[in-house]
Amino acid sequence: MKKLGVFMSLMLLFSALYCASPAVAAEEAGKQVLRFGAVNMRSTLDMQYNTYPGVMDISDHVAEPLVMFDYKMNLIPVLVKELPKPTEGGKVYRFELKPDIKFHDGTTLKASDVKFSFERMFLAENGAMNSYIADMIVGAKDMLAGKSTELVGFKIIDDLTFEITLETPYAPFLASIGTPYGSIYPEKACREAGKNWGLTTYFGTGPYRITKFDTDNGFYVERFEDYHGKKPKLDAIDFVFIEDLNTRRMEYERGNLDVIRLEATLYTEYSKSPFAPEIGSFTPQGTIFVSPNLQDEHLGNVKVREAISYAVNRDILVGDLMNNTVSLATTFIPPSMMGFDKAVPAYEYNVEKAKQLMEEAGYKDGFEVDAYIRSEQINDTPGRTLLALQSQLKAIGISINIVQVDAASWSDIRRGGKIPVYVGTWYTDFPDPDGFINSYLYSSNARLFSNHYNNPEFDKLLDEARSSTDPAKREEMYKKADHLASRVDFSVIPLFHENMFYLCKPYVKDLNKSPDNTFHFFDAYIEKK
Amino acid sequence: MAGYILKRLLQTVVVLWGVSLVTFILMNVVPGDPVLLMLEKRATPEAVERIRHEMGLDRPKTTQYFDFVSKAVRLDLGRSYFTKEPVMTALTRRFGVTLRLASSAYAIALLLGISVGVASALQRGGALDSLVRGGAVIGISAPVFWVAIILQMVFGLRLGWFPISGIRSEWSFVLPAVALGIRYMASISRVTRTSMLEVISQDYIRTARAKGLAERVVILKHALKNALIPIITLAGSELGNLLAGSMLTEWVFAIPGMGKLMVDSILMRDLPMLQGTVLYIAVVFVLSNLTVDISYAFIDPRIRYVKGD
Repeated sequence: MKKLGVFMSLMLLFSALYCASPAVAAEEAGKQVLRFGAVNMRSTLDMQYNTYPGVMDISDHVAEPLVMFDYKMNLIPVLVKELPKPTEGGKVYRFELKPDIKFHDGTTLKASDVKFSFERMFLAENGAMNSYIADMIVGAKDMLAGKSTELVGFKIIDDLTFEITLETPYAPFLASIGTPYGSIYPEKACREAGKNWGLTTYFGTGPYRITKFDTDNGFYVERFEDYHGKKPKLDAIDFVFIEDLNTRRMEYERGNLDVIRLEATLYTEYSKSPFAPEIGSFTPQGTIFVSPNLQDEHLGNVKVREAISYAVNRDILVGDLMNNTVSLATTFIPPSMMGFDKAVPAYEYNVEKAKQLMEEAGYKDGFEVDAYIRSEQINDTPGRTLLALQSQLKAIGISINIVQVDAASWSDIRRGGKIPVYVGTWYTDFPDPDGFINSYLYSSNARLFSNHYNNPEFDKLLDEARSSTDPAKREEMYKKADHLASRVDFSVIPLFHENMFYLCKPYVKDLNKSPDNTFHFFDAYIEKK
Repeated sequence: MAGYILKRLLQTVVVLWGVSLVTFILMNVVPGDPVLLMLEKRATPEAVERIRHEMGLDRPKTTQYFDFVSKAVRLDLGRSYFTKEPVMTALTRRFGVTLRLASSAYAIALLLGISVGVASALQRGGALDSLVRGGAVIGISAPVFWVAIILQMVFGLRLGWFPISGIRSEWSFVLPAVALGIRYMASISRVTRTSMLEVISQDYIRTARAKGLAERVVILKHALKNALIPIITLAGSELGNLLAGSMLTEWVFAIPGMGKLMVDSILMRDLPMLQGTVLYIAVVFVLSNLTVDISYAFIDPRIRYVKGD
């Protein structure tokens, strides 16, 4: 019996010791530390190997691209003195780096670091994911194919000057490399870290440097005193990983977090709570839409797709379903983006006309169709929208069977072109229609999303628009392309544009949220709590 | 005894091989390509092919499996598809967290479960017995995430006594350990009660009392010791469960432990990480069962392991 007593005492002592181990990363008194409730994307921080906005929230404070978009979506020079003007018909860009820019390890940024960062993106053995942002540079495709190890279209003039040559003119080139995927890394440190870059070591030239690297619990970044640009006001940002939404909310309400994202579904609840004044919102450049599979036996008929558009009561979706937290879509391209056509009227809701179109298409008695959804989205905007559509489309005889699948299966099935219809959510990678409408609806892309839109006239418009250097002409071409896709061919049936919400403590000031779906705390500061 | 342990350990190797093979086959049969998940909207055929090649996924399945096994015997379980982190590093780190949570919950479950179970048996039919039995039913049937949220709301959000989530403070493991331990405590208390009731009706307990031994000695030395076998069996399997990680508790309290790692690996089709977590869980169960079997011999002298067992 004594043995049992000893065993139990040891167990108690053991657990007490474990429970009482030292606290991690206590906040230093007197410092301006902003605590942000983040979601762990379980990914490397290396922006060449992930596409997650949640990672960008952290990485954007640490590493910078040559140019980037400010809060108002203006492209601004970051590491270069000015935005280069393309020459030779829009194919050659000459960049000049700002002098004496320091990486967080104290080394100075050189043109060779920029070249290294781009070549790293294209080296076949690296398997980087986001090479598409600059694969129009001469030599990039050869590198990706393993035929070369040098980016011949990147010419170093001196330590601060370099020239990039494109295969063909690409108007949004600067916008494209201005994404976080174009972040510039220090050659020496990045080579030394090898596969651990972004995993145990990660830095760039950004306003904050990582001082606690914890891929499980969160990152702690502190102001980089040698930052080349405007000095940030916050001393540090504590990115705390909490995946459960309710737990994040509780931590915020208790005052343990200063900023958290707020799901749109919770907007109504919070707007009636004492936290209402703390709700902030922004409108990312994106659209929620019905994506029919144009190879489906029923939905391949344009009259059926048009009928669906007429049968959807968008006012109900915007008002009753989404509590006016979204704005009505009249085009696929969102309002704040080049190519948005203000003159286009709202879609008409007309069930009788929809029924007539169904009859003309040979579907007087309707049909059944499977609509797929990712299981984790069933309670979010796409799931709720799909449920509403299921009800609305019954009026014209379309019976929707909702099929839930997990994220991995979803990617697999969708890429296989097998999804008949789904509610799509599409956000741009960079604020240019090429990164939005082209990446979803261009024929070679549309088939990757079970959409299969293939209209040579549409593709031609996009080809011309992406290589044109005249913004006015580009704008017109994108308007025409959008009209073709969403009003003539109904390859997508736009529904609404979402707003994103967040909760922010009143003492956090100047949280300028931009429409790129990531949080930047460059100007934020904390007034006395 | 040594021969028995050696034999069981050798069986472990076969179990681990079987588990790794089944996991590999299942993950290759279910739909879901990690490369497509990784690339999301940029999954052009060229990009998919390039990344599959870089990750070695374009090799024949048999080659992939034997490559995994040959490295695994050298304790190299590869790198995560997504984080690029060595699997062994992730497992080691997560094990530390799970061990802290599991040991705290286990201590609560054992100490309170056995004490309450004994007290309930001794007060059979009384108010305490009814209370314990009712409480045990609630403890077993209450979903762990519900208990967790209630604890968070009451002791974290409203009273502010304990951290709501994370593992940053010295008190961080209190609420998760209670949330996780309650269910096991309830099970152990029920088994303890039943086992004790059976033992205290035996002749040797009556004899002990007739000899004039103090009630405390009768209960603790004669009754509880003999009632321990089923408790140990249950406690052993529950130790395995606890060390395998608790996805729900870890999720709600934002604790980066083994349970969450495994579920994330499944959802993301991160095969190397999943193989690692499944092998870890297999090892935990095999070793906890072995420990239980060995402990029988120490608790009950009548049990001896002989050749052929």
